[in-house]
Amino acid sequence: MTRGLRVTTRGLVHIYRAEGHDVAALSGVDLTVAPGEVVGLLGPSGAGKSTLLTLFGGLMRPSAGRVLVGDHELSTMSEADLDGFRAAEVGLVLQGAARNLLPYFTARQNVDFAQQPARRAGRDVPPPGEVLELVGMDGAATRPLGSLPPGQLQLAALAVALASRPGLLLGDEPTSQLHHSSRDLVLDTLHRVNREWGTTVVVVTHDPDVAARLPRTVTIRDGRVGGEGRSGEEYAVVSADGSLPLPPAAVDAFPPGALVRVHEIEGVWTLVPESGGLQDG
Amino acid sequence: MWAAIRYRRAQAAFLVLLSTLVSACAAFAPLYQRSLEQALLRTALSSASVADTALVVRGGRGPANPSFTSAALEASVPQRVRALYRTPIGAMTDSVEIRPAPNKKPSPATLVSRDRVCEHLRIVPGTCPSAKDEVLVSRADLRSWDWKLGQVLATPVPGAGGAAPALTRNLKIVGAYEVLPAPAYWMRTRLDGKSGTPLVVGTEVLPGVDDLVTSEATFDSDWRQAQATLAFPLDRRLFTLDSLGEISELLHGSGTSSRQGIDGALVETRLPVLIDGIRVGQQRLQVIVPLLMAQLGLLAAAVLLLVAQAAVEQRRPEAALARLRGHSSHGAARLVRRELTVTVALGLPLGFALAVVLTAALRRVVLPAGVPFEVPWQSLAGLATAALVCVVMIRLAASPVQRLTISALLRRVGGERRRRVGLVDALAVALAAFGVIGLGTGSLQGPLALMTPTLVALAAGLVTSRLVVPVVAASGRANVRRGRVGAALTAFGLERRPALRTVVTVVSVAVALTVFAANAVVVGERNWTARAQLETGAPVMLDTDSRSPTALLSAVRRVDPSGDVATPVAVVRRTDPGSTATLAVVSGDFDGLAFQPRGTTYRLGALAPPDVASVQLRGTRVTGRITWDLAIPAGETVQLPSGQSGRPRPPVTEPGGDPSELRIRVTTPDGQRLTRLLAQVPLQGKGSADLDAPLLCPRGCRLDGLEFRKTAELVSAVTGRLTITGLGLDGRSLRLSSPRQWNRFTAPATSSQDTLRLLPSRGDTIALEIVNTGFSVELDHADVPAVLPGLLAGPVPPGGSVAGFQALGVNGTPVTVSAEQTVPALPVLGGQGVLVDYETLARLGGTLPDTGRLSVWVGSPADADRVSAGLAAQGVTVLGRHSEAESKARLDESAAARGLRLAVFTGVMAVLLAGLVVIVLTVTGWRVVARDMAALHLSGVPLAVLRRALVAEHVVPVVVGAVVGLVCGLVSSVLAMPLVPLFDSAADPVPPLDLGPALPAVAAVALLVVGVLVAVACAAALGAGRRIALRRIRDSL
Repeated sequence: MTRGLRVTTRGLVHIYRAEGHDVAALSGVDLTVAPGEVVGLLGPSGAGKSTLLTLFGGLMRPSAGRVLVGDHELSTMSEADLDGFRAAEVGLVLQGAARNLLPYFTARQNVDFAQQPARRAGRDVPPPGEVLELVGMDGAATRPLGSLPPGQLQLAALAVALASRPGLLLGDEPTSQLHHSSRDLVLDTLHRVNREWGTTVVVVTHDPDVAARLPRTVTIRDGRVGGEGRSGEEYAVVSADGSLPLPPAAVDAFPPGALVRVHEIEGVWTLVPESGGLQDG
Repeated sequence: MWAAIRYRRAQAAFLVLLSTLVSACAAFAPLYQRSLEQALLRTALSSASVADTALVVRGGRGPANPSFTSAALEASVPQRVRALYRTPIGAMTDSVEIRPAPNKKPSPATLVSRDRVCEHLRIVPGTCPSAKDEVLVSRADLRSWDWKLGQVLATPVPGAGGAAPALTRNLKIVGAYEVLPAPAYWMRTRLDGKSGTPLVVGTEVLPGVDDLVTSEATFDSDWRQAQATLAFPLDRRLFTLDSLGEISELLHGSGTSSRQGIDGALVETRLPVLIDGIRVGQQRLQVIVPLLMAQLGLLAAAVLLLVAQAAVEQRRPEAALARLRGHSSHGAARLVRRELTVTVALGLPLGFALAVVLTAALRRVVLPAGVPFEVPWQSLAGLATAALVCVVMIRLAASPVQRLTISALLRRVGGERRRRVGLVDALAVALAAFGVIGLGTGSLQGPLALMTPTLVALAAGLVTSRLVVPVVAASGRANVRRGRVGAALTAFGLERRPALRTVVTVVSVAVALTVFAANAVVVGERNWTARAQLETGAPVMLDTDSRSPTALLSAVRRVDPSGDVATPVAVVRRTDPGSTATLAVVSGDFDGLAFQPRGTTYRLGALAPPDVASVQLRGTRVTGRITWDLAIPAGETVQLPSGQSGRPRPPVTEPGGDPSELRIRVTTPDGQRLTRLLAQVPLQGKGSADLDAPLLCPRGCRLDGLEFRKTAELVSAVTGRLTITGLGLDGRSLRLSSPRQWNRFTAPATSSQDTLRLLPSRGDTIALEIVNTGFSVELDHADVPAVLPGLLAGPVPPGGSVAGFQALGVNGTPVTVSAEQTVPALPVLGGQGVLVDYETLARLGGTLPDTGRLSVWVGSPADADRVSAGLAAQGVTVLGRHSEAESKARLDESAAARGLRLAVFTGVMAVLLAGLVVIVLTVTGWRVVARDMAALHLSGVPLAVLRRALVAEHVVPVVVGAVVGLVCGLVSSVLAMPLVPLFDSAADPVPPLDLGPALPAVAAVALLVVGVLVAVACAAALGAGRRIALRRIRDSL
């Protein structure tokens, strides 16, 4: 059984350099994903979910802060080390199944192709058949990709990401553009992988049904962790600097600039709005 | 990798085709050049006689070598040179004097012995001479002189410098011969053809006698002046392109003479001239072939790079995937490179095979027979170069994959990247600018000069493709505002897709190259035609045996009275080849029959004969009345010769010395110029007398002029006045009193005071003012001007000026000619000569000198036979026929012409490459295009609009590129055509080269190319358009 990798970020900032202006996609994300945990990243479009995912995968380097995956501090690794990291430690499923597959290969050949760097690095990788069996598409593994239905294609993409039996599986909208049955199939597969290999799974999703099937969800809002949900319960998360983003419903009650008092009454922390009080300036 | 190739099999097929064309271009150039060189060698050899390529050793007997024979000359040739030749043919000759008949004087003849001579003679009757003093005579002589077998012909043996006593040898006739045709054996030797031909020896005319053939035994030591020759026919099997250098070095370097041979032996060969001619041709090919192929090569390399870039662009997601799965940047780039390299490599051997097949086809169809099939190492080097270029271009194209991050690879190309001027653009612009300046100032040579035309188009294409992007973007926005969906889609499609840059650039270069190639061929054709036309002057030129310009003019006029079909031409040269020759044509016939060099309009009107009719004298006696009033210088004493006593006589005034003479000058119908004495007038005094002199022109004559000459030698001058009234024939006046009927008097020398000036007179009287110091002063009839107007090519002959210089008339006598127009070239004569009016000169009469030739120009080849027959009926034999078509065909076979035809290949290949690029780029991007269009269709844009937009998107870059290419091709044609050698001769071309761009041809070719490429673009776009379907939105595979 694979040992899942812990993912930890501290003060993670990522800024996209654009012509004439910069855009901060992430502005101080503190997050920890425990080994073997299944986590969903939620949030509106442009919140920074996919950016966070690509930083976990070592596809980009953060502008500031740290990203630790297992023992790897990704922000300081060399290109060669990052290549080795991607070859063996992490599997990334890009949005859109086709983007994860070489179109001229079958699913089996794609898995084989994805295993090559790991093999060259001396890493023990499972036989392609085992990977394909794990995701439940051994029967279609040798069929041309063009003949596969969307669900099977997504499973193939999943298989490719899992080819080297990584400790961390990252999925960017792995269930988008799928029918319910296919979506459920993919989710089942993710849970099976997590269960059987112990792989840490982080997926980005917009789909509440998907989120509902994940034990832990992290909501990213405006480039920061806006809250968490565990087993259906929503939580606000205190960040490393002590700030606490309010849940959306509370933001209506406490508009920006509102002055509040924080009182502890019998072990219960209460926010008391100051009457008529908006912060000056 | 094979799966990847199979997946994009259409694109792979086109890439294979592209690399096939690239390697075909690289291999074809050396293959074709080698074949052309072989053709050049064979043409040179086949047009050279055995004698031209033979090595001949000549030696004469002398005191040091009184009895050697031809075989002894072999030692004069170094062994290494000897090895190039076959078995030599030895010959001995000496002069003999043969009395053909008892009542005849001895005629000079030649006694000849020649190796294996009887094998090349038909001996009827008799036998081959084998013993000393046995001879064969020609069958013609045997018959003409009624010689018998066994008859002895006595001849003196030429002595050795006159010191030895004369010997007589009796040559016994043992047979008669007829020469069998065997050019390889006889070379330039001709035994017969002299029998009975009159020979002028001193003041006597003797009948000619053919050579007498004997055995070498006859030439014993008595023949002390015998000449020996040893002719070595070239072993043509050894004369190959590869041995040219060695042979040339042998013949030039170490010399052809050996010290071991006979003293004074002379070794001659014209082979170096032949080799030099081939070398010049090779040099022409070494300029033309690289000039054309380097440009095609550059286009091919650019196409490969751009297509490879497009292919790599398409594979960016795959490279990103490889990186995502842990492949290094090198590994990801290698993945792309390997697929493209293998695909391209498949086309390389195919291209080589195509080049070989194409060369073989050309060898069979275009080149002369005998050109061997060869695969020179240069063609293999070309293949290797093509392979190397392919690898380099793919490596360059794949370099972004290695450089970019994964996230960058996963993104589509940003617009700002397309707009940025890259290093390649800057380099191309810099090189093109450098090349243009270099070619413009004439300071650039070498590879950059050869590639400048393509570089110009490449730079212009790259820059234009950059500039088009913001233009189409603005157009797109404007069309969106106006609600024109189709036009906006086209504009935005052009802005977004990288194919715009590739297509504009490649089409620019292809069209420029095609335009340049087409222009080069047409300009070459124009100049070859001009040269051919100049060589013959008219479509057909018939050389005649006529020696009389007048008689030929009459004969031609009888065949063609109008002068629309045929006209006589006289060419008179001086012995000095650098002198100004004369071309006489009937100026009135010229326009309808002859060629004028392009860009030159001969002012033929200035050459027209004077509007004064010739006066034909038909009668027996010249009549009229002459009146004189003459004087000698006052006080001048007529000194008569002293008497026997030696005492001077006293001054004598009356009668005074010998009378002066008035003569009439006429020309006969055969052109002979004659003078007749009209009257003798006293040296001085007044008087008159009737004229009654015999004309002596039984067939009539033309009045040429009047002459007056003082014959009294002891008087320094005669001055006065002379009038002739009623000058006529047999009492009928010729009415010659009008001043316009006579030319102005021209003094015989600039310092001379002599004159014979026409004075105003009344009635039928010719009044002449006379000053005569003893020169014959002449008054010419005005049917021929005193100074002939002419058109001059080349410098004014020494001693003359534009207003008057000496040239040869058609009768060989000097005539004064003024240059009415200076022209760059004249028909037949080329860059140096003078053109005058034939009819005017023919009025002067006379016969053609030995250095002249009378020909007939025929306006149409179809009339040549009829004119020849007509001339034959008039007693004029046509000796040879030259046609402009033959001259043109000969020029077409030159190395320069054959080399330049490679331009057709480069043009076709350029269009093919451009067409392939259009197709490859469409094939490469069709999935994305179809998906985008399908999404738009889903949004409600009609399919027809989408397809029209797609077609426009594909056609616009082609049209833009074609316009840029046309302009660049024209600029390049102007700049680079001077680099193209059009003729094999190293001399200055005559007529001067006309390198102006052939605009109609260029426009036609450009239109054709644009038509083809637009059709290809439309077909490709429609093909992609047919794939627009809603399922494409989800179909990314």
